[in-house]
Amino acid sequence: MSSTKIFLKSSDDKTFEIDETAARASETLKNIIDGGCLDGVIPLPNVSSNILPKVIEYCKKHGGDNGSSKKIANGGVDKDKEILPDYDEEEDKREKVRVDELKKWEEEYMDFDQQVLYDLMLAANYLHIKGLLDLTVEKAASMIRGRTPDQIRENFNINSDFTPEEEEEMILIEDEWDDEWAFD
Amino acid sequence: MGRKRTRKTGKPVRVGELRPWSELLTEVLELIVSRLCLEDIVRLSCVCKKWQHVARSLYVVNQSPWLLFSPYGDGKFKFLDPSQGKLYSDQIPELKNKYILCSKDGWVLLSDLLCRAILFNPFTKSRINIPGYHASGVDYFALSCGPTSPDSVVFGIESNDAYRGVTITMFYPGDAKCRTDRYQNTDRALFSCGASPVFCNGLFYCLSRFSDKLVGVFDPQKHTWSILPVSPTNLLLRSHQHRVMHLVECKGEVLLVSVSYPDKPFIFKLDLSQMKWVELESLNGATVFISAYSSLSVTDVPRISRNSIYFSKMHCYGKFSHVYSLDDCKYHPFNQWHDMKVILKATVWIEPPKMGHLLFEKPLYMLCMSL
Repeated sequence: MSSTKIFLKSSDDKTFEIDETAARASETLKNIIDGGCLDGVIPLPNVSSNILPKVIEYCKKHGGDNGSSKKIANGGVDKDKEILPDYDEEEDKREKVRVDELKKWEEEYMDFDQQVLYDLMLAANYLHIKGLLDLTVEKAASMIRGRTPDQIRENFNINSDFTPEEEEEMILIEDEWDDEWAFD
Repeated sequence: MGRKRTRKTGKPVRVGELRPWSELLTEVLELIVSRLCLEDIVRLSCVCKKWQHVARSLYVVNQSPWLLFSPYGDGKFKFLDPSQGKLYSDQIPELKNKYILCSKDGWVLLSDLLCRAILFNPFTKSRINIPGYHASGVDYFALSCGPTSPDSVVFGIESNDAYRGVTITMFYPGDAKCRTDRYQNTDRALFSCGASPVFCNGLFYCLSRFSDKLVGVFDPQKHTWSILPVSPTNLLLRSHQHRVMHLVECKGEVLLVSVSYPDKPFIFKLDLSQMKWVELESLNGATVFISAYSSLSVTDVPRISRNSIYFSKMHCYGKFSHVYSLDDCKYHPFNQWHDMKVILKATVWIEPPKMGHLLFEKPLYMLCMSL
C-alpha cells in the first residue's frame, strides 16, 4: 500500500521522512495528521536527530496499530472463535510465528544503553507511542528490579542528594520493610 | 547487566553525555515505579530525593482489582493483575467444584455442589462456614464488606411471586446461624432481582430483572425492604438488543451499567433525590470493573485506564475488546488476554491484599511485553 510521506523535524533541525501509516503509531502525530495541519514539516522540538530515527524504526514496524494491539491477519472474522474451544490451529500457529518474530525484533531493537533509553522513553511519552513507552519503561524497570539503591544509582549515573543523616535513616526504613515483607 | 550481544538493528545510536535520570519526568518515573513490587519501590526510594518523592506518592495508592478465574475448572486458578499485566497461578483446591456467588474485599462467597455456602479468602486461604445457609433458590448474593470487618453481612435475595415479596437471608460472620425473613414488596409489586445487588451507604440495592423502574432497597440494620419507583432509563427506546445489567457502587453512588456488545455500554447513576436514573457520559476518572457476580469501581490506580469499563472474559464478546473507554467511546484491546483462548470459568473481579503479588514467589507468565 503506498502511503503519503510525512516529514518530521528534530530539535536540531534535521528532517526525516516517514510514511503516514507508520506515523500513525504515534497518537500525537496521528492527531496532527487528522487535524489536517499537514502543510509541510512537523516540528518535534523535544526529539533530537540522535533518537528520531530510532523512533521512526519502531513506528515502521508497528505502523498503524500503535503497538498496543497486534494485527489480525484475516480481518477480525474470527470474532466468535474465542468463545469456541476449537479455534483455528493454523491461524494460531501463524500468529505464534508472528509473535515470536516480533519478540526477537524487539529484543534486538531494545539493545542500547541507558542514555538512549532515557531519550527514547521521553520521546515515546511525548509522541504518545504506547507500545514503545511500555517497552522502554519495562526496560528501565528491569534495570531496577532486585537491585540495591547503590546499584540503581550506578545503572543510571545518579548521585545521591541525601544528607548522611537522611541516608542512615533510610537504611533503617529499608531494613524495616525487608523484615515486614519477608513472606517465607 | 552483562549484555554481550553485538548485533544491532538500524543505525547505531550514539549519545554522548549522561542523562539526568534523577530529574526524569514524573509521569514517566511513575510508570516505571508502577511496574515494580514494593521491595523494589522501597529500594528505589533511597536513590535520590526526586525518586523518593515519586515512589512515596505511589506506593500508598489504590490497587487494581484482579480477575480470578479458572481456565479449566479443575482447581487450578489464575489471577490476572490488569495494572501489571501479570498472571499468577495457584492451586486452590478449596475452589474446586464450587460456584462463586459474589466477591468483596478479597473474599469470595462460594456454594458447593450441595448448595452450602462458605466464605473463602483465596489469598490467605482462610474460610468461614455459614451454618444453615442454603444457596439453592437464592437468586443473588452480596457482601457488605469483608467478613473480618465488624459490620460485615452476607445478603441473599430470592423472589417470591406468590407472596408478592422477597425472601432475604442474612448472615453475620461469627453468628451461629443465618436468619431468613420474608418481606412483602411495597404496593405488592412483582419484583425479581436481575443483577447482583450492591452495598452502598449501608443499604443493599437490588435491580428488578424486568424493569429498571424498580429498585429494591434493603436496610440490614432496620431489617426493612422497600421497592423504590424510579423514573426509568430510556434504554428500551434506544436499543432493542438484549442488554446485561450490572449494579456498581462508585464513590458512594449506585451506578447501573448496561452492556450489549458491540453497542456501547450505557451508564446511569441512581439519583435518589429525584428518584431517577441519570445517564453519565463520564465516570469522572473512575474505572468500573464488571463481572457477572461482582462489579466494583476504583479511582487513581496506576496503569489502569481511567473513565473506562473493564470487562471480565465472560462479558466480552469481541476478540480484543475488553476495556471500554468513555473518553473515546470505543472498545479497546487488553494486551494481556492475548494467550488466553480458553473458556474461562468462575470469572470474578476480586480486590487483592495490599501488595498481593508478593504472595506469589514468581509469576508464571510475565506478559508485560506489549504486542
